[in-house]
Amino acid sequence: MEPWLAILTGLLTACALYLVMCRNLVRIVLGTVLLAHAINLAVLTSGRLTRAIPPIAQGEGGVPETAANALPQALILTAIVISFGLLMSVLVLAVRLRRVLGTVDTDRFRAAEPPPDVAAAEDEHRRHEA
Amino acid sequence: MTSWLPALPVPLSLAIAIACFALRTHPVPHRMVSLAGGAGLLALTTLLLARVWEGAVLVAPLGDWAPPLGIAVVADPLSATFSVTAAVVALACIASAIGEADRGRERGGFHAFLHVVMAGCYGAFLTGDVFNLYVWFEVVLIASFALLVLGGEGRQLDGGIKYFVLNLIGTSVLLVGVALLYGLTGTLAMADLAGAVPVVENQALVTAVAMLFLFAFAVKGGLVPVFFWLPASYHAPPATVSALFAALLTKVGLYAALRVFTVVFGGTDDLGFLQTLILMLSGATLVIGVLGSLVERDARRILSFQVVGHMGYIAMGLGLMTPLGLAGAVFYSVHDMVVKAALFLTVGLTARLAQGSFALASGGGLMQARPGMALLLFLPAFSLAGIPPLSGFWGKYALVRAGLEAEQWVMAGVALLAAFLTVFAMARLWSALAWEDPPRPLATLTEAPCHPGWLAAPAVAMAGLVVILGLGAEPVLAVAERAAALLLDPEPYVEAVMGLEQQGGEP
Repeated sequence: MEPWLAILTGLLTACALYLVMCRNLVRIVLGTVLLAHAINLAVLTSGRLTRAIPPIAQGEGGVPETAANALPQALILTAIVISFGLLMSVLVLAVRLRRVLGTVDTDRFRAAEPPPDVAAAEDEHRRHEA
Repeated sequence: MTSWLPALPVPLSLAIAIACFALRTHPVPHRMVSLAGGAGLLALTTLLLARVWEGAVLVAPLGDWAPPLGIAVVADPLSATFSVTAAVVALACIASAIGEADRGRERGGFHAFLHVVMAGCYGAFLTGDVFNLYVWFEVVLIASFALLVLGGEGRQLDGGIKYFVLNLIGTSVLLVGVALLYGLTGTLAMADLAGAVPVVENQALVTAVAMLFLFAFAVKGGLVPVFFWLPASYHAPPATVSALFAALLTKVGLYAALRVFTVVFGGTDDLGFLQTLILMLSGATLVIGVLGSLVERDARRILSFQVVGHMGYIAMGLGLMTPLGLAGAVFYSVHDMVVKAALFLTVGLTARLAQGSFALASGGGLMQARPGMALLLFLPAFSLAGIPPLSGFWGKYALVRAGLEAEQWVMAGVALLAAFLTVFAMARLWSALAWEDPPRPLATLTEAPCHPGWLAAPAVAMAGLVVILGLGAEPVLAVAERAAALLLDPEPYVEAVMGLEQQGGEP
């Protein structure tokens, strides 16, 4: 079972990376979601997959020897909550970006970069002085 | 030694954040709670540092569950030094935020987010568990992202999306690394991993996992070639936020690297390969970061590239992995946090005089009109460049000497070259802002809606700290040496954490 899940993790990661490298912001966001899923699967797989009984203490005997490992699931639960919070904030940001800059094409997100004409004009000025 | 002191900074910061958020529509109590909280955290972390000053390790087993089953919060000289410095920077940034008096951002919860960032930083510095480390990274990421885009200007959103997506990928890779490490060893406590990692049969897999960690920490710490989010975003928010980010965020990544690559991966077979790789990354970071700052025309973008470049010095100390190298890295981190905060706060002041523009072309004339402010800019700028007796000199001296002692001639040469180029970059910044004739007459601080005293005081305090750190470097270097000794030989650290089990801490 583990090899199949490992291959699935790889496939999901490949899709996620392809999406993250797109220019469209919506695809990038979807890519990060897919990446989070791929990683959750990796956490689950690395905790060993066993068809085991639930890790519930049986009276005096404590937790049975063959009980499933609960820790990876606790880790995934935490990771899901975190990635959900991150997804919500990045979605809000994407909506806001679309409203303020009027585009979701990341190549046209130039608001924080120095305007190209100013840089060119300064270079021109400097050459003139020299 | 069991103590609840290390467990306190995180919940207290979160409580202050909640109080600030509840009071955000009442300007005066809101600011006072935030300031008092920042001062309280500084006192608390100072107490923590005093307790571990001689090299003790304080452990707080959360829920009274002993590690490795429970999660421990651990304070040693390294984490306490980073915490205190972070608390100093946070206090300065809170005062500066009060000075900026931006009602819109305050109503949006500025101080609350700032304290959540601090909670994440303290959490990352003090945790003794690698999964916990990941969680605190995410807390820092989401709160700093909120600070970055608060206000919603176009360039903030633009910088914010680049910051967010690239950091998100970095922390995701960290989570994969944590998962695989758990799969290999069956434990997540750093102290337990110190013993479990060297006995893993498949050491090649351990090295692969270490690469994942290195990638994640390099993204967070702004190392070449994965630093691009940093100069794309640090110049977008208000000057106070830039100062907080420049001082803290990259240092959280480098702190984690200092901790994990010594305590967890210190006993692996391929340590030499890891060291070589870290040294190569640090050399590239030093050269590319500092060269990048030479071509920029905006004061904050110049300083952003300097943030990147000088991370190379800390990574260099880690890569050398000698007592002097690690001590130099710790000292350099303290210096870098203070000096970057000082620079960004002062540049924020000079931009206010130049009608809010950070461009070099619109600055100037400080020497004639405001010689005090020219000096205020001079001190951190040339401390960054490493002019003695300012604080940057001692860190660079320790690191270059460690490089020569380890016979890493190229690395020592690159470190000196980067220092030289930094002198050039800082001279360019200072002469443009202080010496040259300004295109427009300078404004005064009182013109804008702000409190000049609150704005100037933290910048002056940070510049003063740069001088004090330079003249009184000895005690800081001493504690940095003790921190380095604990990293190279983590036996006392491991014993302090794992020893709880035998004392009947078992649930």
